[in-house]
Order: sequence, then C-alpha cells, then structure tokens
Amino acid sequence: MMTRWLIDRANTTITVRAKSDAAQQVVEVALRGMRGIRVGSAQGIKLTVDGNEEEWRLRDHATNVRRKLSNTGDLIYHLTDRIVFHIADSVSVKHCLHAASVCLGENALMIPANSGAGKSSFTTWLVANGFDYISDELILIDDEQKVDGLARPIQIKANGIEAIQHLLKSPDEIYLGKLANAIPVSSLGGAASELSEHNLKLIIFPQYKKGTEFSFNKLSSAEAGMRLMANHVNARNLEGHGFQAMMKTIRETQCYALEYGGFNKLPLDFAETLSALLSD
Amino acid sequence: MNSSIYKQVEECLLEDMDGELLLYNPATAVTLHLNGPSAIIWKLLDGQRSVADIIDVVKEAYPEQSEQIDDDVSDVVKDLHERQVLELVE
Repeated sequence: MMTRWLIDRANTTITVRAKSDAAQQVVEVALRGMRGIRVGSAQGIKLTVDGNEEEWRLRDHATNVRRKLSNTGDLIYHLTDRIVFHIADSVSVKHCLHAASVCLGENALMIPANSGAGKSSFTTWLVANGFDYISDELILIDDEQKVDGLARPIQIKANGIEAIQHLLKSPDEIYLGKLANAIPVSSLGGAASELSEHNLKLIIFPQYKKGTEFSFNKLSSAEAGMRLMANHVNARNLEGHGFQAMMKTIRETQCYALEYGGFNKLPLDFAETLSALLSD
Repeated sequence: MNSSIYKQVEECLLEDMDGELLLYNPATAVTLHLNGPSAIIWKLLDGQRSVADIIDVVKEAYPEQSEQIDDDVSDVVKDLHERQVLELVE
C-alpha cells in the first residue's frame, strides 16, 4: 500500500510517495523535520521511493529523473536534494538562500555558504552544542526577515564523517552513503525546531580550511551584502531580483565572517558567544 | 579606448550600504562592490562622457594623483565592461 506525505513551502507543494514498507521507514526519517503531513492523494510535484536496503529506487516525476541506489544514506541525500531543488526552483514569494540555520527559541542564526565551506559540519557542531536545527541546505526568508527551512537529516559528505564522529551521541542512528551520510539531529542529542517562523538575528559566513586559525570578525554591510547575494538561489523568480530586500536584511542583522580549521580550533566559549549574540 | 563612451546597463541595481556601493547585475546574478574611486567613475559613466572626459573630471578632483589616474580609470572601465554592467555607446 502506498504512503504519501505532503510538503508545502511558500505555495510550492511536493508529494513524496513510498511504495514499500522499507521505503516508508526511510522516508519517515528523511522527512521527520520537514513538517510533512500524511495525505491520501498526491498533489503538486511527485517523488516516489520504492525498494529495500539491497536496492532503493527513487523517481522524480517532474523531471523524469530515476535513480537506483544501494546505500540508505545516498537515498536520503538524493530524495531530500530533489525536494530542495524543486522548492528553490519554484518558490516566488520568498527568498531561497543556500544556507544552513539553527535557532534558540524564535531567534535564528543563518549560515550562508557555498558547498565545501563547512556549512553542514558547523551546523552539526551547533546542534550538538544545544542549538535547535532549522536546515543544513536551504532557507526561505521573507521581506520581514522571518526564516523557515527544510530540516532534512544533516548531510555530511562521505569523507567528512570522521570530523563529526565525536559529536554523535547515538551513532547507530546515522545512515551511511557513498556520496553523503545522513545525520538525523536526534543522533546528536538535538532536535529540529518545531516553529515555522523564526526571527533572523545573526548571519555567519563560515569558511573551513584545514589548519586555519580561528577568526570571527564583524563584516561591513557591503561585504555581507556581496556574500549573501552569492548564495541567493531564486533571485530570478522575485521582484527586483530580491536585491533590495536582501540589502535591507543585511542592514538589520549582525553579520560575521568565521574562519576555522577544525572544531578543536573553536574557543571553548564559542557556543555561549553565539548564544549571547542571538539573544541581543 | 579613451574616446569610447560607455553607459550603465539599465537593469543593474544599485544600493548604498553605509556609504559603500553594491551593484547587482540581474543578467549575470553577480554583485560588485564599488569602492570610493570605482563608485565615482560609475556615476560618471552616463552615456554622454567619454573615458577621456571622465579622466579629466577625476584628475580635477584628485590633482595630487593625476599620474596614476589615466590607468586607474581605464582599468575600472575595462573591468566593469567585462563584468557586463557597462554597454559601449560609441
């Protein structure tokens, strides 16, 4: 019997369908933090998962992409990547940013960065240090700086698992893959935020580089604006390409650049420092 | 190049961020940071003045740096044109 979940973000709807019991279990893990609701019939863009641990099958009906996958971590990666892609491609009423985000209560910290800058690893560290999870990949933000996200399991590249191993409280909860490992926030002893709206209070542009000493410096509005626009993914869908609205966001938010060469290079009180900045 | 006349691409969006200019080109989705001299040159690229005219205006404003200004203005204009935020008028 087919099971269906509906994900609805900013007028974009996606239905994920699981055709087998094994697929249902994995999809539940993948969508746990995304506020998907069970529905009886499909709406909008359709994604279908079938198979079992020997061979998973994923189909994106909108783009006719089909994948056969042998690792559960890779299935979760590709399934959630399709969801992220369709939302970023379709949303025209909010800004979509290539960014991670965590929060304390209603106050959100956003972490925009290109792939490879250490966004997901830093997010893993933040969740392990008491921050609630919003997303590791895609943030939706409106002109009033209200933040929402897609809280998929944190995706850590296959070769990056070693760096976050010490943060895991329940290693048996993670799903390994050849491309990416899926890290449910529960495996870190953390939780996804249950709110659908958060107030943006702080933006950090991270850059991980092995061996780099820690630095954490406030950015000028111009520098922060340049960096934020480089991570805007649906500008073409928005009035004025979202430029003026994003510059307003920058003016109203504290922005920092973080460089670090590993978690052991972060100051011991860094989580407290960020917590204080979020509470300002 | 000095006789060439350029104008700003109309679709570009400009924002003053605490005194520093950011220029966004929707066609390329690239944001440029125009610092002091670049911002002045940008404002002078009105489709009327030639590069030589702009050099004269900047030299008048910064007479103590006049030796460098020919090259600096030409470099900025060349860079902005390469980044597709300027159109060659003639």
